[in-house]
Amino acid sequence: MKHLLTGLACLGAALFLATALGEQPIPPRAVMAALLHPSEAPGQHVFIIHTLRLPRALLAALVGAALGVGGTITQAVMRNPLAEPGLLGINGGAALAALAIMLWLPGTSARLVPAAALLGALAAATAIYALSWRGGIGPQRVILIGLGCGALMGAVTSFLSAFGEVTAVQRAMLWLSGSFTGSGWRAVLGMALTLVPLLALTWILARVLDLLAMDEAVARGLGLRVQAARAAMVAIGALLCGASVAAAGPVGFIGLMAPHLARRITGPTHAALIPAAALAGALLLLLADVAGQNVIAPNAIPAGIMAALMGAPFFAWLMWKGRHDG
Amino acid sequence: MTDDSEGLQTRHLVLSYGRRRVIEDVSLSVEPGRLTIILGPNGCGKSTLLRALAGQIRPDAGAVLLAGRPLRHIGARALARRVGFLPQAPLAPEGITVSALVRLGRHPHRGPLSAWSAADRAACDRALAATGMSGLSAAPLDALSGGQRQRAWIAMSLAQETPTLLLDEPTTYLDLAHQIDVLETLHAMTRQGRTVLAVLHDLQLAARYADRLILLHEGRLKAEGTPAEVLTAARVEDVFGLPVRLLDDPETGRPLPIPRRRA
Ligand SMILES: Nc1ncnc2c1ncn2[C@@H]1O[C@H](COP(=O)(O)OP(=O)(O)OP(=O)(O)O)[C@@H](O)[C@H]1O
Ligand SMILES: [Mg+2]
Repeated sequence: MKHLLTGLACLGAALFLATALGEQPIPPRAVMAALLHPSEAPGQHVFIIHTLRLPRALLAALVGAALGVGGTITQAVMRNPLAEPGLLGINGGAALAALAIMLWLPGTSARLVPAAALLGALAAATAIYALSWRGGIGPQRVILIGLGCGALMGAVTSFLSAFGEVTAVQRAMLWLSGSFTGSGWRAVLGMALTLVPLLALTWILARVLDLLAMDEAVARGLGLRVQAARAAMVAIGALLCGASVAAAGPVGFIGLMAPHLARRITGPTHAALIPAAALAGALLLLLADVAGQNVIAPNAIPAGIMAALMGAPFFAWLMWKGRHDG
Repeated sequence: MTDDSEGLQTRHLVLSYGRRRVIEDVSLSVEPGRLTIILGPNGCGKSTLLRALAGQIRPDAGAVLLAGRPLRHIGARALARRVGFLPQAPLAPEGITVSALVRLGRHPHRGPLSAWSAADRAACDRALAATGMSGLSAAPLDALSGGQRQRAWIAMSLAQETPTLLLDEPTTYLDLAHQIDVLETLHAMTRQGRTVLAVLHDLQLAARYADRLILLHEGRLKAEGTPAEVLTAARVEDVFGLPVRLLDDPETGRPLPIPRRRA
């Protein structure tokens, strides 16, 4: 409980930071004024904060939370702390579908891209699940098939972009790097409406995740119908991550890092781990986006690339720790 | 609690992995309220038989019955409230504490939204006390010795509080004193009316504690009955390929198999 409050306070502080920093920094006092009394604050501040920065920051936090929980689910179901939602085919499928739409239907409204991404993500996840099925799925097989399919979809994506029309490819590349540029309130609302029920459902099913992370025979002996539970949890995870990818493009590493950081604080019991992973994911992605907008301002680094820049050393640290913990 | 006084039975049970037959036509009854121990050499099918009795694998032919009903007609949660199962060398997620593990044993008794109850807590406390793990309940499982870990798993199974409990080699990794403690605990449970079936490798301890023995050999039921009925020198030599002498156990008056030196 204490950790949860600390985490929420950190998230609040990060949100505040995100509204204050940017191409045109706004002093904290003015941020407070624009947030609390928008009618009396200078119109320019109100516009920057309410229309540009706040929805963007909130979206980054929501997407981060969804990826954190999606990663937690993936790691429990795969019984592997190095698993991440990409193994479910989410990012690969979304990228491929979005790219195809952008290249082949250049005239269509940008609103079609998220829908295509979501469909692509879910289709890829379903395909990987189906390919792994042999009277039930085994985590090892899903991981191998997920890696294979991911590589294949990546190759097709590269192939398409190598031969696509240049401006369309450029637009697609920005989307593929996972960016929150231009996110508005509509996206925030959509993501919140997706995240909240799925998060609540995952939390209610926390004990099912505890059992899935255990020895399969033990879980079955405790009355869990393992295959049905796995399929249900993978579906929830795919929806969470698919919604993220639709909102922000493919963002890697958050789904790997957030559950790890959270687990260090709460331990492996999911009732505590799920909220912590949501908070950790929200914080990580929000900070990645803030950093990306500010480190080489006025140029911006997309949040997905910042997350990868933070994630690569993190991964190395995990490997190193794994080797040295015996 | 359902009346499981008819106990677990198998009828002409055949089990295999893919095309490999492991259990051939085994019909037996696990006597309710008794401690039964399954004996047999490595790879003879003890774990496989136990898995089938726990409803974990489907018979190729024949059936496993609980109180006269085939297991496959009993729902997963309902079965988990009646039969507990501890596999050989189970895996647990990194960092899980003993108490978190033992609490999972209460899963079949809790609905998805039901809160942790006083009865759940009491069951876990009893299980920890019975295995001598109360003092280690806050420790992470990874930080325990092999024997302590084994006792934590047994505590999880005890917390499940099922009328029937199946355990696969619950005493491997334990020192002699803790082996005796576990067997005494299991024996005491049967005297409270619960049914316990365990796989064991130690013939001497099995002979001393078991009410009944089941002897398996190459997937077939070789003998079933009291230790005195099952353990004959000829049969032990035949099944284990090891000549033994049978002494009278001064503690219990039961047969005590002593291996002879190989010539
Ligand atoms: N999952 C499996 N897939 C294929 N074959 C298996 C599997 N598990 C066990 N077997 C085979 O079935 C036979 C019986 O195995 P089982 O585990 O039941 O033996 P056991 O009597 O418990 O042996 P131990 O004393 O070594 O534990 C063995 O020959 C083994 O190789
Ligand atoms: Mg075995």
